Amino acid sequence: MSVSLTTRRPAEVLLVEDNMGDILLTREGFKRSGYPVNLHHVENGEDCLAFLRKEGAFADAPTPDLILLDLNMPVMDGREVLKTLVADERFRHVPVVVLTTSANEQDIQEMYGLRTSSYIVKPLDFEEFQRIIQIIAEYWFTVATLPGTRD
Amino acid sequence: MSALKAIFSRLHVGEHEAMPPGAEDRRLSGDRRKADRRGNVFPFYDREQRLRFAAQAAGFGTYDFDCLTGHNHLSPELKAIAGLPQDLETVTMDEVETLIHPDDRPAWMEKLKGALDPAGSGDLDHEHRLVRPDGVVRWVRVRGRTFFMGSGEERRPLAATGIVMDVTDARAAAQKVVDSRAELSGILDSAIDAIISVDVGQRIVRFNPAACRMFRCTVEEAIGSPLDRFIPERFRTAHQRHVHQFAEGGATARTMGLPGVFSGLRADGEEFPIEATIAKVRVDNGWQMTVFLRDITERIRAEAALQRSKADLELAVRGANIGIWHWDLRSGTVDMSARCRQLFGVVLDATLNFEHVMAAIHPDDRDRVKAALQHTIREGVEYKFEKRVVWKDGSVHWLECIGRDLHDERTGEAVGLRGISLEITERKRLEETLLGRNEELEYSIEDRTAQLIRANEALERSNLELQQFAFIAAHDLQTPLRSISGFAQLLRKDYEGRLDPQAEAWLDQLVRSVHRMRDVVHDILAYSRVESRGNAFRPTDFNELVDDVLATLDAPMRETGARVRRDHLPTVLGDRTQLAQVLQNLIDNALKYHGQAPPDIRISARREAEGWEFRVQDNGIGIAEKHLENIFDIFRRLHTQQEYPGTGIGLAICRRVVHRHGGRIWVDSLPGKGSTFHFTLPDHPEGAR
Repeated sequence: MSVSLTTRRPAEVLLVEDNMGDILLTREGFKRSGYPVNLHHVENGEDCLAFLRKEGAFADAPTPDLILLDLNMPVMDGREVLKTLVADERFRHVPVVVLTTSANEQDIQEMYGLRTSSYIVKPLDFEEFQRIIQIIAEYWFTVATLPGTRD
Repeated sequence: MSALKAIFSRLHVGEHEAMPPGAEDRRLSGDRRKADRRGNVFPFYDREQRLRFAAQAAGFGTYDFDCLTGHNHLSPELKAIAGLPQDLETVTMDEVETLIHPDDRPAWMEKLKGALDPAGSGDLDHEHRLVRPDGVVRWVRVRGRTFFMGSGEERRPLAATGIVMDVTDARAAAQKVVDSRAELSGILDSAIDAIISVDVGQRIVRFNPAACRMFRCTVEEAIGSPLDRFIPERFRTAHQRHVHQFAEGGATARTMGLPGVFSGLRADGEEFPIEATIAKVRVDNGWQMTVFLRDITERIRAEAALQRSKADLELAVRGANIGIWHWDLRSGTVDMSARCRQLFGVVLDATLNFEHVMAAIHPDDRDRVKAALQHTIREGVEYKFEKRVVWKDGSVHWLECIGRDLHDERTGEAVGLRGISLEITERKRLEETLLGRNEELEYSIEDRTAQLIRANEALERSNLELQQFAFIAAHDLQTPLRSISGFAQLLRKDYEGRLDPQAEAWLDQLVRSVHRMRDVVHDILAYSRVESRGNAFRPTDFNELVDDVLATLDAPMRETGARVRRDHLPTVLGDRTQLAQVLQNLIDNALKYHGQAPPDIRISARREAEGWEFRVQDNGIGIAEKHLENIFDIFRRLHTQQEYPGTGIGLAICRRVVHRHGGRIWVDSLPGKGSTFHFTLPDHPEGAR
């Protein structure tokens, strides 16, 4: 029986998403999931990398347990972020779940090719979205064992 | 012993044997014998003398052969005939034998034997050659008789006498006659012309093989019949008059008739043109006419053909305005027809030579023309070229020239050139114009093609941009849509009971609108993806495909109580995801547009020449005929959202997918009875993308 992360501390989740509506809905989704989650968010790929490297305004940022990554963003999109993360020893162990509007097969192939942990197409219906957030939280915080959580 | 001696020994004669009594005086000279016999044998003597005289007068030689002594007395004439010296008194038979031509000796010997045979008549009549001591050969005829004595077994030849005539000249003359007859007969037999001779009574006496062939009758049929039978009736009177005049006239030969005027009549009744020559020869009883006839049917035909082709040629030359010229290489002169002179622009009545002709030719073309003509003369080939001539007025004219060399039949040496010229100035002008037009046309076609290519590229670019735009627009619409939908739902849920009924109703309508918009965005995305985001074609099993699609439609099938039947379906090359979309849309429609009865759907396939035709058949409300064509257009809807909800994109997607696969899609329908959607998928998609 594995020990769940959230029984000991809130999970640190980094949402990389440029759309405020989606940010609010995601936050609402986690809130309603009942799991203790610190949801941090950045609005593009560059900020994501800065957050991870604790650069600038993110000097005090925690290392996230899970990254929820949108694909289509200004400045630096999700593909580049993922490419950079897997190439970087410090961050390649952080699980990344792609959470995007695109259901394009090419995108799906490409992201799994870059070893994303999961690829999820955002549904339009909020109830469906809520269910997905619920499952993500349950799986990553209670089922899977995340690195650095078994001191 | 010679063969002759053998004969004599058998006859018991010879010069060493004793002569019988009374025969002795035969060995004496003629004079002595005459003297001895005068008196008691006068009548015989007298007769003999007269005969001898007659023989001498006729130039005959005589001989007397004494069988007992074997001595031969020859008359001076005979010695002259045989070329023997006149002082020779007697000759032996051996000596005589040497005078006989070796080839004639056996026959001579045989005759001699016969004449001396006591059982025979003793007559001798023989012709043979003598070879005179000087080598001259003469033909002689010998006629003689042998006198015998005794009778029965005792009968013996006593003497033989006779005359010898030199028949050399007579024989030669006779041979000449024979030879000339044979020659004449050979000529007549092998003559190509028919040769017919008639006697004074116009009866045929000679009819050669050529005549037989010409008149198609045998010699036997012809000989003795009147010549008239071979002349058509209408010519007979005139012919007889001609013959009569000819016979009476002084001429001995004359040509009769003209081609086509004088005709012959074959035994089978066919008439034919004849050319005839008649000759008359005096014979024993008057004149004999001989006609020489030639069947000129072929010649007349050939002449007629020649006339026709000459006339044709003349017409062609005149009609085509062709100029003809002839250059005699030996005299150096050039003959030109009047038209040719016109074409070359040379003086009409001058005598021309080659230099005059060259002077008429455009300076730029002279070398080329000269080279072509020289080549023709050297190689004996035809020439054909186009050249310019410059007339006196300075105008330039194009001529087309064709010709060939003429050469001596015997030596093969080129003796001239003959050719024609034809003015082609107008044609050249047209060609040049046409060439110019062609170039213009080519240029404008190229230009137009380039324009089209540019337009096409622009169109493709714009199409791509449009697709991209539709895709991005639809995609980007989803994000705000999700927000609207999400917050509406949150409001509806979290503030339930705290909003008045009007606010709740508006929120419900908001959510419904958002869902409808979501469907539209979803379909536009699908539509725009058909071309831009298609997958590679793979063999796709339609049995599995239909089953998978039906599984996703489980809920509406259950709701409507639908019955779906699927025949056994083939495996076809295609984009599985897109083909699933086609089937899903068609089956979805069949489920949606049903009438009173629950949907009854059948999915089948039929083999076509180059692929498969699939059918989705339903028993639904059907489609009015006027909509059958445009039902596949995007956003084409036949019903309100309240009647049948839909985006109007489903069938447009189907059509796009089928077209991408190189197939066709259509529908036939009876309103109220149902619709059948057909689509084809070729085995080898052409423009597969």
